Amino acid sequence: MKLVTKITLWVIGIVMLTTPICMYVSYNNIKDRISDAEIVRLQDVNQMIAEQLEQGIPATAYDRNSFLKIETLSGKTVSPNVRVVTSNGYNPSLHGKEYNIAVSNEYLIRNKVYRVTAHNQIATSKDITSGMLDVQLWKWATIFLALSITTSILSKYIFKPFRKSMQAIHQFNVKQKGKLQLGATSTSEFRELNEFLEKMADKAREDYAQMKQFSENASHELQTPLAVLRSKLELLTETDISEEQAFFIEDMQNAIDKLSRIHRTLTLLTKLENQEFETSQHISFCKTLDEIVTLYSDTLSMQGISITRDVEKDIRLKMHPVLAEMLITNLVSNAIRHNLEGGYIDIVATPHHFTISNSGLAPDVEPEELFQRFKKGSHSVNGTGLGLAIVKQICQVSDFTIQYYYLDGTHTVSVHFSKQAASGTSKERKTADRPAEAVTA
Amino acid sequence: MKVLIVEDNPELARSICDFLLAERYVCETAFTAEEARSKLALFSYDCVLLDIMLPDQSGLEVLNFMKHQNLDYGVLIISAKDSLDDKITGLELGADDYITKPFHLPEMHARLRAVYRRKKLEGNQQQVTFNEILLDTDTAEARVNGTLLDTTPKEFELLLYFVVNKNRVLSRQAIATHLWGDHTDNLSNFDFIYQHVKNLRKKISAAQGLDYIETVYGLGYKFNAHKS
Repeated sequence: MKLVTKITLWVIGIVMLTTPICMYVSYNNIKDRISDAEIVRLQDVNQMIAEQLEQGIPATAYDRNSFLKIETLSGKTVSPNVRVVTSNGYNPSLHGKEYNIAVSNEYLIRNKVYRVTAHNQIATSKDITSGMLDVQLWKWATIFLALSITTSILSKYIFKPFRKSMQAIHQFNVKQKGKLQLGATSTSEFRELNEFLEKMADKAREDYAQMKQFSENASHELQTPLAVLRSKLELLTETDISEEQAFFIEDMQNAIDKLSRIHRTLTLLTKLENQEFETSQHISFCKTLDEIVTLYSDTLSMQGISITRDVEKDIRLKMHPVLAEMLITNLVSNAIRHNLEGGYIDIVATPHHFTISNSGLAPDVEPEELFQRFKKGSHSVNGTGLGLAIVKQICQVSDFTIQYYYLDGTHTVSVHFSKQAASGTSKERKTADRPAEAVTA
Repeated sequence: MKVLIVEDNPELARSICDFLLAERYVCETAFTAEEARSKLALFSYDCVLLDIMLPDQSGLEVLNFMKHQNLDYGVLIISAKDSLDDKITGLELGADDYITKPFHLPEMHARLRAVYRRKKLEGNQQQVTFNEILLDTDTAEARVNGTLLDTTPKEFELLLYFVVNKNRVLSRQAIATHLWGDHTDNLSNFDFIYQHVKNLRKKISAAQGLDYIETVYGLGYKFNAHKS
């Protein structure tokens, strides 16, 4: 629910709660005033009558006046109190209820005590309450109207700095330079919020830049000792060494090789996560695919692996060339490494998807788990376990979806180039090449 | 060949120097961009090995300097960063090739020689010869005693690698990296390399060439130039 709506409902709630209380108070107030005014007036009438009696007009002269009543009281004392009697009645000719008020005063006139009573009809409770209700309804109607007209204007005006801040946060990218610009505002809460946001954004940028710097430095620092190690070992192999020493050196070289590969891959994964490979370029996927398959043509023929390629021409994708190369290389070399002697590899590529399947032994890990870092099957002794993790990460930053499954002796990896995956294409396969021949283009 | 090595890590610079000296090249080192510029201003070289990450400045500035001074030496850039942008910028600024750390020394040597060949033998036939072996790097044709060998592209590259790095022990990793690059787990099945070497030796023998390629126990292979 929007803030403005909440506040509006709150205001309406308050209004509705206080209305009965106010109405009650008003009602009593109005009723009392009406009564009081009438009492004063009726007393005045009594007084006037009393003066007339004083002048000698007989009491009976007022007998026919229905609003007056004069009584003669026994006794010689006059009570100075005013007596007020109210009663509810019914007026048959007006077909309505009445509210009667009678005011009595006592006077001593010519040694007789008279009680003069004047009465009148004044507004009934019903009159008052219905009048009040009318007022309330008008009041509420005008409040609602005013609220509905003004809240949208008010909200736009008051919340403008807030909305601007929200927009600025939306567009905020921790990697870009430049401070978070939030406007000035007269509302103290928004001012506080803006100050806080600016501080937080600056801190986030600083932290990110520091971390990036650190990982770049660490990466550089690690590479150089590795380079020294490798070069010194190579120079060592040029010297006089025994067979025993040679095997130690070989193990060392293998370990350095692995270290180097793992380091390079982890660096790449970090760069991918930090989205350092953003690009607006387009690359020719089919061309890269061709180049890489050619690179392994010797290996394929040595293993007796036959390869079929069903690649459409002119597949252009928006992705970084290095990423394309790594994606294809990883998948192709995996397909070769986990293959059987005399096995096969099938490659299909369209503008919508890329699928590579190969013969091979069943994986002993859940297929989807192989995408995790350092997870590898027992058949992959020398691998770093990072190949598929890279592939998955590349797919993520390029907005591709990837699946891997194993069925009936075939591993299949399928990459869909847009989030709207195309359903499987049904193209005729080219005939498989015989193992001894080199791969045809 | 006279080479200027611009590398801030002294151990690595020394390794490279030792390697190149064994090839009878003349080497000089510079540890900062500043030092590199002074040396370039005073002496002439055939090739420059240039590290991008130098303590005082980017190595690309040295490249710029060379460009402005019209020093048309062969330049091989070394970098720890696997960055495409650096690569592209470097090549645009006039570098001839690019190699990432940590590299194999024979790999560095092979590329250095390739750069040198292209610079020195501009237009002329790009050939590498050793005794009865003749390798044409333009056409990727290998001849032994005049006979054309039926080598696959990878076998040609392998033979070239051996000849350029003659008498050097080439580890299986170095060979694998040379043939297939370093973006994969190198198909760490060294059986492939064994096969390639075996096939190559067979083809050379078939053309009556000497069997220069030897296995070095536990370490790799070597092209023994002293055989007769």
